[in-house]
Amino acid sequence: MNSEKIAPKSWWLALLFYAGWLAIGYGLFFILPTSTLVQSWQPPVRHFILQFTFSLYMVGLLTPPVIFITKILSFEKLSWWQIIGGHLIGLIVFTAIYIHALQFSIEQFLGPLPRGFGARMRPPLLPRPDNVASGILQIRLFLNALQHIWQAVFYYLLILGVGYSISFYRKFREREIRASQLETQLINSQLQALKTQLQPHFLFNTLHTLSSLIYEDVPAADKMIRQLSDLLRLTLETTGDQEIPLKKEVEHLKLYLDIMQIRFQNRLQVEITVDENAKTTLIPTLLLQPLVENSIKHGLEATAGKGIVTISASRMAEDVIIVVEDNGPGFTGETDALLQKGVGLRNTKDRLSKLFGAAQKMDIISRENGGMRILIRFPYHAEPWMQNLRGEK
Amino acid sequence: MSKIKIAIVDDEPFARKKIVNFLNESIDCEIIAEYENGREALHYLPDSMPDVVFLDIQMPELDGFEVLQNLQMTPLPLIVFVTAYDQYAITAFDHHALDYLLKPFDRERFEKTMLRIRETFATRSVGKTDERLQHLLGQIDRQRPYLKRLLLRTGSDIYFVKVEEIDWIEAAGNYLNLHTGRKTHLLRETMTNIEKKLDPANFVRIHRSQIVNLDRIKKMQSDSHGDYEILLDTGQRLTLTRTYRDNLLQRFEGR
Repeated sequence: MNSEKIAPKSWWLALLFYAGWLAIGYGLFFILPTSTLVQSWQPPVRHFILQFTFSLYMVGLLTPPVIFITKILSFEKLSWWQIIGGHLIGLIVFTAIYIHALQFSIEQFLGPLPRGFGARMRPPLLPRPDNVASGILQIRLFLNALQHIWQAVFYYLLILGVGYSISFYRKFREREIRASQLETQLINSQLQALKTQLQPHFLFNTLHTLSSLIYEDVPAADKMIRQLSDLLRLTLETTGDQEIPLKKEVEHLKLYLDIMQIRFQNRLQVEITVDENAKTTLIPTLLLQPLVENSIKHGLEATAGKGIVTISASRMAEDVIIVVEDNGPGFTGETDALLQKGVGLRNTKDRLSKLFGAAQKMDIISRENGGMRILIRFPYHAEPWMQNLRGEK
Repeated sequence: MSKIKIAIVDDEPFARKKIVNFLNESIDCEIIAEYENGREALHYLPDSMPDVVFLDIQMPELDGFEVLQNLQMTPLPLIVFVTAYDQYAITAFDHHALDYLLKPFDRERFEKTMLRIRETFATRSVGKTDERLQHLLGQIDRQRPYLKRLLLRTGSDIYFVKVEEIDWIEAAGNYLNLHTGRKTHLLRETMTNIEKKLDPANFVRIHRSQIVNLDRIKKMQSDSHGDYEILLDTGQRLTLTRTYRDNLLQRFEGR
């Protein structure tokens, strides 16, 4: 997805390496034919070495375009037939350039290839019309030319293999990194939830409410102890699952909200609506927790009357839409600044984009008449999304 | 003997109820008021004139300390701080020998506090705690140097302006005009005092009688006299005089 972000330096390194390699190639290209050492070699050896050097040089020059072609003809986007077709065209063009360029560069130093050149030694190149003589020679020259075509095909396939290996390896690494980042963020969310629920303010105030409730209504106090225990147990039980069904996430939220409702009574009003067809979707574990805590906090700061927090989940075509709203004072300034401040909000946004990429959306809006609205949208999925990632990408 | 008049300030109903319950049986006390937030307390306490206030520290909007800092009452009532958790405040209470209750508290702990209150009234030594309270507030003032919101009064109404909403401030006699968007609020305060209370990372004096919020500055243009013209996001134009020029430019370079 963002390979530049993951490995920015390897690109430059590769480029530098390649530039150096080409420089050496250029050097050889100019020095080799005139060097006394090469001149002193026997013609067959000289021709062979020249040809070998030039052909390697050609391969070097043609490597980036072929790698580029492997990038275009990626297995993620195209069908097998399109890829094979694309490479056939690529191969023909590659071979044509390879053979003609090789012939051209050799002729620069040895002069036009003489007739019978192929009869005495391995002729390196395609037959030219003016030095084709007898039928036998023609066949031999053709066979030799064929040999060079095979060479070109071999080189092409070699580069292609390297290109695909690199991109597969990179995809693999990317996925590994993404998975580990997701893992870290999940742990962050769990830690965040733990922090809020084991936060002295929450815990001691809840216990204080309980200690007062005991005098008023023993069954209600009993129930509240159960709710608090369930909440703490759920938060402590870190399963490590990236995603859980929305229904479960909402149940978890409800425990927290019920406790807050008892504590603040009619100062707080919480409305939860989850559409039946959205309940079954999976959602990143503890994704909503920090958002709802935020809204409660803001709602209680609502200056007039009571704090109202609304949580709703619905289906829209292939997507699930979750809205968390409060009637607090809202916010002034930029959304970015808000994300900078709120660790919970930022973590939520990061997790969504790591998991769903471009398929998700999270908006934070300050409502006209005060209050904040957080809107989250991601694809409906009943199977873990990471499996999706493994299968497709 | 007159009863001890008690007021309770707490944003959680059951927290108030608990104190009400505990005081139900005491014949020498009377609960005269319950307030569910700092603003209410600040507004009504001077009228209800209680002898003792059970004051929750952690409340949204205006916390217990802010209530005390802005409370216009002399003498101050006897304050019993109530808090669930605030390590810093507890150390301060201990240091100034002020009474506090930690949530959750039980009957035994509560009665101890009541005993102390009764003693204080029996020996008429309310004034002493007043002094200790002032010291505490002074310390808290120093610990929280920069204001997050300003408390304003119009007649008997109390409302707040968040400092981040202020575009610029202008002196007008004994008052300050706080410009926030299209609105202007009047605050009785001096230029020097408000400059100290606002975070210098955000608010900078640009003129003998003007302070600007750095976040609102859109553009600055120098004129031929070495003064600068400042254009705010709101379209307002202000002048930065030479005396304060370095003051402002340093802030930007320091950032």
